[in-house]
Amino acid sequence: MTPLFRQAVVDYLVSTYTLSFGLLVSAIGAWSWFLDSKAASEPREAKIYRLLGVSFTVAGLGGAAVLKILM
Amino acid sequence: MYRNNDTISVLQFIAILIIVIFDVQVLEMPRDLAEAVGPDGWFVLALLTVLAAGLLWCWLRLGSMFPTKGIVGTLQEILGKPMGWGLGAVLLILWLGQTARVARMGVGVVQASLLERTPGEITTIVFLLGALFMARKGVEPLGRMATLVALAALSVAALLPLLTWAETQWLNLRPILQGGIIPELRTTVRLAGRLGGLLIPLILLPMVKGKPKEKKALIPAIVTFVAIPAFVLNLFTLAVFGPRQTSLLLRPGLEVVASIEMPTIFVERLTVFYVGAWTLMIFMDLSIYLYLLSQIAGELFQISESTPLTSFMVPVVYLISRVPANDLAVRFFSKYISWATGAYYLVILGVFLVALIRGFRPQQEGRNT
Repeated sequence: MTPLFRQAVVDYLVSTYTLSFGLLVSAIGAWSWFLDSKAASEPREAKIYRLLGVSFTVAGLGGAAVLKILM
Repeated sequence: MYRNNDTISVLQFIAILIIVIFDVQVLEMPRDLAEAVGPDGWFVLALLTVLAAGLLWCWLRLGSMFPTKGIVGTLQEILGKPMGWGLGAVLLILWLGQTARVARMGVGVVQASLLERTPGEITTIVFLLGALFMARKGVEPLGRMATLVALAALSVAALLPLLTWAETQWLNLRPILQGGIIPELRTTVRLAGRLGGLLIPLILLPMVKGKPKEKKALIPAIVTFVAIPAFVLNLFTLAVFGPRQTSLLLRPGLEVVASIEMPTIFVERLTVFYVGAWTLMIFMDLSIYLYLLSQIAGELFQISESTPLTSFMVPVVYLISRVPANDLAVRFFSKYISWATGAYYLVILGVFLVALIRGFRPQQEGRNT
């Protein structure tokens, strides 16, 4: 990854991955974590939705906050 | 709760296919045709219709070889597990791009005509959340909604350009085949990737409930209902503006309706109806793509209750859709996606041939037949 490309990716993320978008991602994650995982009938699938939900919940607002702090 | 045991009728399946094939890209197609072949756009459209029918026939045959399996299962049966999985994963990535393209181009249309001052990000999110709500309902409500939208919105989209009749100059579509047939053939192959949803039978065919007789009507119905509006839109646009002016417009398919001037009708802006119809189709298109993405992802990771996966597609689609910085970049982005789709069709065509060589034959009775 060249420095120019890296900078372009970071600039793009800073402009796109805003706090409100992060909040939306977290909301989607929380929905899956608390509702979809409960509704799933297979334990394996419930676990997958819980894992995906937790990671989206954390990465949503977390990612946006990190980008805000770094930039 | 989310188990995918829904079924759809043949009519709903046809409606879904019509909505996805009659893509928002059709609004830009007159310009591409004018740029590539000038007045011969109608001929390329005719060739494209035949090619689409042929491809659809192949995919339907391929899908009916394994009537209980989705696309990943079908590919795995023919090519083996790793290759089938890999091709399925490529399709997932490709359709994430397709969905992002539809979202971005759809937002472009809405911004250019209705919501000039609303930020594109907001419109994209609203579109995607609406589509997510619809997609999470499952395939049967999607099918019902697609039937309504295909009937109502497609009629408006097909009929409104006819009001430009007084301004058409049919001499704009002449001379015919002046540069020979080769450029037309080349353009047809290049534009085949625009028909993004042709692979849908490989995913939805196991859910289609209907008699074999009804299924025989699939290709004629789809081709007719997509080709007629596409011909009307493209021919009237080329006839009104001429190939030279059409090649300079960003969305000629939208401009042609904006150019309608009829003092006798008591409607201030006909474009509002037209864009409204297109907005409905874009929304439906996004819903179907989100649902299909969840199906492919579910098959790849062996999740039987895959509908909730649609939620996770939304942020990814949003992020991809915001990559192109402006309208010109969106155009290049959609070109690359079209080429990739065309290349993928070639690969699947190869898979179809392999299946035939290996002796797989279509089965009459599906899971839900």
